[in-house]
Amino acid sequence: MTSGRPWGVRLALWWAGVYTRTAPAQDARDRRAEVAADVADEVRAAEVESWAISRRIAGRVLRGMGSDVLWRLSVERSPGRARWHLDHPATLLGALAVLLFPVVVLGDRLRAAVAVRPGWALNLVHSAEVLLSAMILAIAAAALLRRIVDRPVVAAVARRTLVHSVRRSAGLLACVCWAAAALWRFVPGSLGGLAGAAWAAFGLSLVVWAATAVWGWGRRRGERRTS
Amino acid sequence: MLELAVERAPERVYGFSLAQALAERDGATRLVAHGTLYKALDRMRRAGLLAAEWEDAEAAAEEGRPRRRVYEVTAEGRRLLADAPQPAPRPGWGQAPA
Repeated sequence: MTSGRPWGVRLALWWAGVYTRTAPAQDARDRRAEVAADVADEVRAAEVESWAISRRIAGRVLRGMGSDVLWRLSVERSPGRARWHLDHPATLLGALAVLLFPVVVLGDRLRAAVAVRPGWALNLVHSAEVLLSAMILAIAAAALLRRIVDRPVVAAVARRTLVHSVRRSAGLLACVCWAAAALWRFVPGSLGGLAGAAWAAFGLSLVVWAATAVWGWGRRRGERRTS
Repeated sequence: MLELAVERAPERVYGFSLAQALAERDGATRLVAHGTLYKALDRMRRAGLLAAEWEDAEAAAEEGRPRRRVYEVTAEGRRLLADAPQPAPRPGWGQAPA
């Protein structure tokens, strides 16, 4: 069914799914349905071939991405969202980790390029790295604290399956270790081993996360087949 | 956007029809971006200038398309539009601005 749609329509629906993911349910449903109706209308009204329609729709998607992100940020200002994010920190941590990635890559490039005389651009990137890493650590710590204070850990584990809990914990640990490793690059060489340990923990937790994710996916697939 | 919605009344407008109308009015070759359009509509709806509702599912199904969210300018929106100062016409080439 999906393969029959022009790729521009699939792109628009995919992007709407991405930026509305974990948004308040009603807002997310409305926005996704509105975009779906819009692209369907555009395809119906078009008098050009499928490739040209897709290109036009993709242009509308790309030009509006900034506004989509701003819309999502405005939705997040509604009451109760901060608490929701502390209960479900994956969205915030994931978004910050995605933001941190290009900043870290850019920082490494700049450090290699201006090893002799650091410039303002490098300072800016350093500040962004520190800020994003500190935010990841602070959110993870706040979410963990909230979990420990508000709910008994044993009950939380019992509510979900053990594998699900392990996967979530491994994802959280991977984010924290990555942020910690990014921060430790500013510490003088004597503590360099800690950065190595953080990277090792990051790698290990990523492997555990991937293994449990694959296991969970296989189990869900099996359940769907039997039902 | 409000102006266009009022011009088209009593016909109710929806996202794609507004995008087309905006492009026609501005002589643009491209339709307004999804993000820009729906963020603006959402803000106006939250501010009480527009009322939104989903059209009947059966009517949409008969035409073989998804349901549209249709908008109508509220009394508050009309009042705001009436109070807003009219934009001065742009001077053409060779004309001195007033």
